[in-house]
Amino acid sequence: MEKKIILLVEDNPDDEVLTVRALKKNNILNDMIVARDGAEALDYLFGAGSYADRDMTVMPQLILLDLKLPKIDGLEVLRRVRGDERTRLLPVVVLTSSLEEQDVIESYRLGANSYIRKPVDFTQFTAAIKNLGLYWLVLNESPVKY
Amino acid sequence: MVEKPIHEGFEQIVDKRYQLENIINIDDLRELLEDFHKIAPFPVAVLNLKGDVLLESHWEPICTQFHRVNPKTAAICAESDIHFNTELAKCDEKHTLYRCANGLYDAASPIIIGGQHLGNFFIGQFLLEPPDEGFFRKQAQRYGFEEEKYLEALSRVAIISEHDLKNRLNYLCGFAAFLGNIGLKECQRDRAEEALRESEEKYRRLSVELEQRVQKRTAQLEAANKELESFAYSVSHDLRAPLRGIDGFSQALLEDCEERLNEEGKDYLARIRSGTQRMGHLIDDLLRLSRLTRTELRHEPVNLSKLAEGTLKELREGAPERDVEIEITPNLDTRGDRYLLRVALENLLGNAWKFTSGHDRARIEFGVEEFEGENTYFVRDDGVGFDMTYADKLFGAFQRLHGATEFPGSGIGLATVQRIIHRHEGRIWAKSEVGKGSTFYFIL
Repeated sequence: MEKKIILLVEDNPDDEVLTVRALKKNNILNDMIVARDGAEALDYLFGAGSYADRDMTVMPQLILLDLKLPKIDGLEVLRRVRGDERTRLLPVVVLTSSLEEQDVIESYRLGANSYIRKPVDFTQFTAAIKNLGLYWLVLNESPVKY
Repeated sequence: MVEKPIHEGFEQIVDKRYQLENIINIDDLRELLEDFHKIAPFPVAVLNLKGDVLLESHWEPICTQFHRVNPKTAAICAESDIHFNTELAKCDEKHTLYRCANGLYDAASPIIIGGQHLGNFFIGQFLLEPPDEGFFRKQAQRYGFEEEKYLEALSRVAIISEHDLKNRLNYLCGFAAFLGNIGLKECQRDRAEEALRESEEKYRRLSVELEQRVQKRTAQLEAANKELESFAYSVSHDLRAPLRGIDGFSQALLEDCEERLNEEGKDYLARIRSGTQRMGHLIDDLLRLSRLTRTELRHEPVNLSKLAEGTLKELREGAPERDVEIEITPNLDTRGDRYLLRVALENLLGNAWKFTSGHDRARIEFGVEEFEGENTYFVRDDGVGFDMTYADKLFGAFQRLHGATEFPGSGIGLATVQRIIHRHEGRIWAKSEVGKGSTFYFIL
């Protein structure tokens, strides 16, 4: 079995480092692709732009998606992922600072699998990353087969 | 034209733009006079001040077929009409009697409405003595009238005795005065109607204006609210992100560089973390407070006693070792937003719980009493209390009357409570004495 890939869509480099750190601390050692805005995330998923040459038979096991992103925002990324046959079954976990009701509702409406608010407290943040990694990468049976 | 107010003070009632023919229904009057003069035939006329004949009835053929037909004699008639108008305007007499240049007598009385002379009522075309035939023959020659027919018309003109003249003049004056009174009533009614129309129009204009102002203000409020929302949104995103970084990297330092840090360094990092976490909570509280004003208020039956019981049960479970006597008046039913009222009670009872925590035995009470005729709910405790000097700061956001080390809290609780009570269009206030406890009162 190939190594499972996580696509992290995150524009804040601090959050990126902290997420990677939290995953490592919890022994989740998957390959990580980081997209710094919504457009880059879509390029990767649909093999466009700088990812035009990538192997399209490989899809991430999990997408960690921030909502507030440059260029194309997280909700739009989610809408396009769910609208495309190649990606519509991928587990998407919204990982964001916002606890705005409309963001939560809109995310689920567009087909997010989970919605997690990043805690300020790093201890809690690590625990959250641990739980979601464990659930989505280990326990959960993915519809995407390799 | 000289205007001569007869009834002082009524001038303003009759608007200058009024014409006699606009005030009195001339057609009705004509019908009435024609009927009347079938019984007592004599020529009458109503003229306005410009000299327009508004109404004529039973005029003598000598006038209608001769004098007023020939342009020259007609000019003489017009002259007479104008003379009358001028005479009546000048003198104080109720009537004037005049022999026209065409040889007949006319009498007229002014129609005065609300002090304004608007027209004249005429009776006329009569003779006071048998006519001087020579004069009329000359007239016929001079103006080319067919003499025989002209004299025949002349013979039909009534010759009036002094007694008869007196009666006719009485009738003339009485009728003119009567028309004046009717006209005044008419004007008063018109004026009242106009005033009513004006006030209706004014009211309509005001309400349209008010409506526009309300719409404008609503739009402004909505815009302000939108701005607040987007502000809250960016606060939740943008302010929390760097805090997470500060906290996360402090923790990373503690973990990764532990052996290189002395106790002091570790303590500083711990302080940085507790500071950032506290700020995170403040931001969350602030967001929650702003959300309170944005969510729609529901109106549903709420049992406040049940809400209080639930809240105190949770507090008790959180600190089972404490000895707190609780008294809740049962079945305090009201209407409001259940969720928001629960948040309010959680804060008030939470405060009571918190500020009695130093006592071995504490007492917390939730009940109702009457204040100024209104049901006033209260939460009473026998805790540390506060100095009433600072009571005005009590409900401000981030205002705290106790040090953070003494009692924890962000200072957002009572601001939240007040906002909830205000959204229910209620009032909240407090009474307290240091060391003896506090009572928070609210009316919904």
